[in-house]
Amino acid sequence: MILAHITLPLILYGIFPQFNLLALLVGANILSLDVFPTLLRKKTPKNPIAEKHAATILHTLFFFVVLFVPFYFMLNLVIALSFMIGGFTHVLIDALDEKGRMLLYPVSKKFYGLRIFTYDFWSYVTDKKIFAVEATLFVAACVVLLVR
Amino acid sequence: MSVRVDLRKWGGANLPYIIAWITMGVILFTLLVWKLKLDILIWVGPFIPYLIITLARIRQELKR
Repeated sequence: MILAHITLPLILYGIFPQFNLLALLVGANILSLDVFPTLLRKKTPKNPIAEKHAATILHTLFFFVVLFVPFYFMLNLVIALSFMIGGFTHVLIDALDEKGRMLLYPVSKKFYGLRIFTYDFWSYVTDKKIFAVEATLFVAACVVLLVR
Repeated sequence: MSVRVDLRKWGGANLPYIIAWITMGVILFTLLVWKLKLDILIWVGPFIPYLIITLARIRQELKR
């Protein structure tokens, strides 16, 4: 998903204002750093599903569980928890696409997910159902930002 | 699967989607800056070069 990586943490913040909004947003987006090899590639692969993006340890729940401990001791519980939950939202909503994500890493490197959305960017941005979901989340996030 | 598209054709056929996505992104970003004050720009700033790379990549991919 695209905007949902921002709108979903915002909606969560609307429901649980105890969270730290910035930590939620950073946690929910920092894992996209593994998109850089994809952006810097010279050729588009024939099968984008096989590319590096979303196939590294960054796109795993395990990554955020591991980071929780040092963040808790270096910062505080609220920031550490917000960061972890933010990361979880990203991985879990990503798992809705046809690529799936390594949800059980490091136990298994298999990709799991519901596979209800397309992974291909061009199909994604022009899909009516996906657009309806993203737009609904967008409206809810705007309400949260305006009300809170 | 990879999608082979013609930039003008694709852009013309999907103009409402393009406008809607960009509008939602801009509104969301504006509201976030308003909510988090300028702090968010410190986090977003380093990623701007990658945004430019992304846009360039999208253009290249559409031209293929």
